[in-house]
Amino acid sequence: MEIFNEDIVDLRNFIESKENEGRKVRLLDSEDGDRRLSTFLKKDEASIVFIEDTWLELGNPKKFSTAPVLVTDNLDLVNDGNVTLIGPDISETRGSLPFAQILLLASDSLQDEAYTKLNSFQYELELKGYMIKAMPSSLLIWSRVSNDNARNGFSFEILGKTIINNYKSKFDIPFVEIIFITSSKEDVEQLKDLHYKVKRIVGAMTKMLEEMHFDCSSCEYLDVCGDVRQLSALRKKLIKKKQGGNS
Amino acid sequence: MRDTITIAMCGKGGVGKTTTAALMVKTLAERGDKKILAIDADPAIGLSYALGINVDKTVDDVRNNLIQKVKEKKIGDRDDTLRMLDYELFDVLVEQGKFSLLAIGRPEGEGCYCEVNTLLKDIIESLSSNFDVIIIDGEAGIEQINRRVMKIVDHLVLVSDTSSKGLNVAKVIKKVAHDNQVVDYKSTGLLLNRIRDEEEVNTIMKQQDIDLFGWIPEDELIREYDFSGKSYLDFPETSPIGKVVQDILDSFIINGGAAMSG
Ligand SMILES: Nc1ncnc2c1ncn2[C@@H]1O[C@H](COP(=O)(O)OP(=O)(O)OP(=O)(O)O)[C@@H](O)[C@H]1O
Ligand SMILES: [Mg+2]
Repeated sequence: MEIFNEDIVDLRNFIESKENEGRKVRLLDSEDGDRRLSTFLKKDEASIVFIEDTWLELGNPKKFSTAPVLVTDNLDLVNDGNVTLIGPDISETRGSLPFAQILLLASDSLQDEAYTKLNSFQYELELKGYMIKAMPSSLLIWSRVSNDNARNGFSFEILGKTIINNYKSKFDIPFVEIIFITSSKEDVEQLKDLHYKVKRIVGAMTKMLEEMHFDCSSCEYLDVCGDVRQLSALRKKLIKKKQGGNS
Repeated sequence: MRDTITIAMCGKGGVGKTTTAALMVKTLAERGDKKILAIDADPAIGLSYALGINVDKTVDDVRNNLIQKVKEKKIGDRDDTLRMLDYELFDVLVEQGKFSLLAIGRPEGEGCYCEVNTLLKDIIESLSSNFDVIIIDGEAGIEQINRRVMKIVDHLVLVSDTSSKGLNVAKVIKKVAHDNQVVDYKSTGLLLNRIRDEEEVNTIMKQQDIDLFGWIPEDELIREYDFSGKSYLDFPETSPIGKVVQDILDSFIINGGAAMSG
């Protein structure tokens, strides 16, 4: 898949520009990070983190949030295992923040059809004291970190590494990287172009995979399909499959 | 899993369902030891208003939004749909710290899109399991007894004033609920409202074969709260009505539903 190659390059430039503007950009990789992952595994029965038990809320629907998954078959574009944070970490702030969670996945053996699954898999998290609500097809993410978690040292490093490990074990993806942005509303909102582009692509793919007729003249995704060569290729492939299945 | 107790107010229009539901929420919120969910199942969202909450989104809005997406084929697989509903429903939930509120809005339509309603019901149920006590302010009349939201009820409170019409509706609701076994009730009983004196209660109960949960007098303060649109969360603890409500709640929560003898 190469639909997102340019976006990944743009994203690197974005991160660099933030660093130049003086934002705190950190690669989170502490010595005991991996060891501490297991402390937060598996939820207690109650899945809700109520507002009165919340230390930090990320991406409330009243604020902007985005959670794009960018997949590529160019292994050079992804720094495997990296967890990058722009903005404050969980222990360093409280309240409610806008939120971006960007996943970069590289593999040379992924099928395009797997993309919508890869997109929603980031929300399948079993972490204590971390409530996650999401609209995968709208790329919206909304989460809460409990007071207990903050006290016990839950961090973006732990969150990021858990997600990375999940992808590796479930999909056997060799290169997984994650970037979190909590610095400011403006910073997160600068990702709007990327957000809407990815959202359109997810929408077009979802429609193709769910729907059985491909009448392009009446399809609202005609424009993205035209722009993104790979989408029309996927469409052709699916039509072929369908015809093969029908005969 | 919590052992959630669900209490629903039912009865004729205007008998005091919303008032008593609001007083129950207030009483429990004050105690502060339980996670409380108030469900406003009246399309006129009276309970929300009585608790001083501005509702800008209801479960019905979530449902309509989903139906629209289904129509436009903008929805992925079942997991995706469930996640979306879970997100939106949580957004509809108003968290007040001491309690949370969910406004249902218009009740579910009949016929098509029952898949949507089933998904919604599942999500409301799983949301509900995070609370200790759920107070439902029902819509007036008896139809709602068939609706899914009522299926989770443990204690059915039949609110009535002293009018024969009010008492009759209570009787019919009880009969419908029990005959159809719509609900697996732990208890059903009358909450008599706007009562003059104890004698009036005795006279009424002689002619009823329903248990009595309790009675509330005609009260000047309730009138005033209603008139000035004050939130029942500020209703004074010193009011004798608080004690009535407290006793009823205790019987549900502590004794699992022992009614006073009629
Ligand atoms: N004990 C009481 N003393 C005085 N007024 C009361 C009492 N109980 C209820 N009322 C008044 O009666 C009116 C109807 O009460 P309420 O709104 O609680 O009834 P309801 O059953 O929820 O009505 P609806 O069916 O329209 O939802 C309100 O104006 C309320 O203030
Ligand atoms: Mg009412």
